[in-house]
Amino acid sequence: MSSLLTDEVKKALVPGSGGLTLIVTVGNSLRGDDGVGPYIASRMTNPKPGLHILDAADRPEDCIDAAVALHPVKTVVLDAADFGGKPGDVCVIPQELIPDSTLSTHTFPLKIITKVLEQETGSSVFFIGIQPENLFWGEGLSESVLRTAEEIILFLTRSKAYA
Amino acid sequence: MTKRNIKVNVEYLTRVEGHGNIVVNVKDGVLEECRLDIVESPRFFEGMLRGRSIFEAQHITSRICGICSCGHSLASIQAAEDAIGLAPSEQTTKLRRLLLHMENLDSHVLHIYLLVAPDLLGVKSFVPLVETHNKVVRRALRLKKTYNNVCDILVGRHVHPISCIVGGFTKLPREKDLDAMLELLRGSRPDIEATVDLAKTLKFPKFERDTEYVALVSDDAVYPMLMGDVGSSDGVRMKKKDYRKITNEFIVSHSSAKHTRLSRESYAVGALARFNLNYDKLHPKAREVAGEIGLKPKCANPFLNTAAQLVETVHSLEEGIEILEELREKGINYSEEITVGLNEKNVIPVKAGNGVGAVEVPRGVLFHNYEVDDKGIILNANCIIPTNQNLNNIERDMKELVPQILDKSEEEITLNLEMLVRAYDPCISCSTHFLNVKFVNR
Repeated sequence: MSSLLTDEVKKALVPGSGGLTLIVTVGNSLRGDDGVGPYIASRMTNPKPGLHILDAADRPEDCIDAAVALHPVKTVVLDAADFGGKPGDVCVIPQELIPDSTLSTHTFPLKIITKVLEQETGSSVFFIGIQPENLFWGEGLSESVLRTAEEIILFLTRSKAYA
Repeated sequence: MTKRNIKVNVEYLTRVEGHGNIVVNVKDGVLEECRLDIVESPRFFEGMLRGRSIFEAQHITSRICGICSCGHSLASIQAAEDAIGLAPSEQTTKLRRLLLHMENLDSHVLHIYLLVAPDLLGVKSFVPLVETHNKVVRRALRLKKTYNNVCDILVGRHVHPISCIVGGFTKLPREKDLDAMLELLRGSRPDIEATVDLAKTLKFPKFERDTEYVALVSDDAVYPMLMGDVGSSDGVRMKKKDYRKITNEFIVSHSSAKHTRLSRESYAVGALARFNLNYDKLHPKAREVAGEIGLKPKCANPFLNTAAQLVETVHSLEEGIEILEELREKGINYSEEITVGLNEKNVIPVKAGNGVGAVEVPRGVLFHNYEVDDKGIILNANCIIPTNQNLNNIERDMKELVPQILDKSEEEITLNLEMLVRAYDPCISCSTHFLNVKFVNR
């Protein structure tokens, strides 16, 4: 079976040179595939040296202090994102395509979070989006999104880049 | 007067609890049409509540709004307790007030920084401020995190509270929790002071329209957020059970949300209404800040609702700290901790009745009304949210504002109208910059 992860995604997931790589997972586990980020975090309790997983869940704005304190050289934000792909597709989303606003007044827009992370940590920030199939109320991931999540976990745990 | 022809059509002004459009038509300098269309689909929460237990209603209704989830929970609990004749303890009331203060802080901070500040600082959205006003952005993030964390400690989650239920709390804060909340709140004082300093530099548009202001009022010394009657700046005072006589809802063809009116053609609720009606009961530090920014009751400039929110932010912080200090000193009575579930074990005596909850949430007074049977099952429900009560007033403001700004460019007119709507902090998110603005000069 061919990899769901494109070269671009793999490149975003490989460690940054000369320091810590931080993966920030975002999403709400009670909204189906929106929980893909927290699911990946829950499976990565013992990451390889040089890699740190920070589960920001549904409060990405609250992770900034913790992220800054880690002094990462590279930050990767992982979240479900509707970019018009097939369920389970994964891609690197350029910062300029992340909306300035959220769909609610409940939180700060993700773009602010990524920009602040970039500015405060001085690290390069990548945003990886996973196309959801189901965002309806309820726990658990759809098969397609689960497959992608497992592949990302496999890459982060087995990749020689993280050896 | 300018003889310009202007047609403003702002589609999808907002979204969260709904979609709104601004429609303005000016022909030969005369305002022919000025509407705030609300095209949101009904959400049927009242229908969902029918047949459900009052002991689960607060969890259901908190989902009406993410930012006012604590307020909806508390209005729901109050309506349920009123229906079955249950009076909360003094300790429970204090903790509920603290919860409302945290919601006020969280919501007001977000509105002041994220939705209003960009307009007043002359940028398109909050995002560019990351580059130009990094300290401001970090402060806003820090404040939001602080009040989220206090909510977490107090009710088990930063949004959609878990432990706050009909009858009291399933889990009461331990001493270490009280200390942690106190530390967080006291620690946020410098950031709130800096917020006040920032607000002093902001220039709010000058516009006044005298209207009726409606908020909770009381005879005691407490700034009424949770208890009291419903009063107005026109001298109306009624019990909360008469909320229908206050709101007098009516339907307009261009809005799927009902409009309201009381003594005049429209009325306003929210921070400015509370400020105008209950200024004397604000914490002295809040009144001091009002003086510093030149806000005095009765203020009839709707743009200054944001300034009133700032004053309330100081009030909520200081009163929140005082409540915690008092609880810390007197100690918490843990015998009040209850496990109720759906009241399968009849922990709480239930009888049939009709109850009303009236709670001041960030955007104004919120009403929940439940008719329940002798098992605590909801037979009928009615919820009237603050934004609905403000829609008619916003529209009247727009009608008075437009003729005063006809000499401005189309872009400025649109921005002024958007800012006016935003000043009310309507519970329709993304009202800031998702706008597709179309001018057609005829």
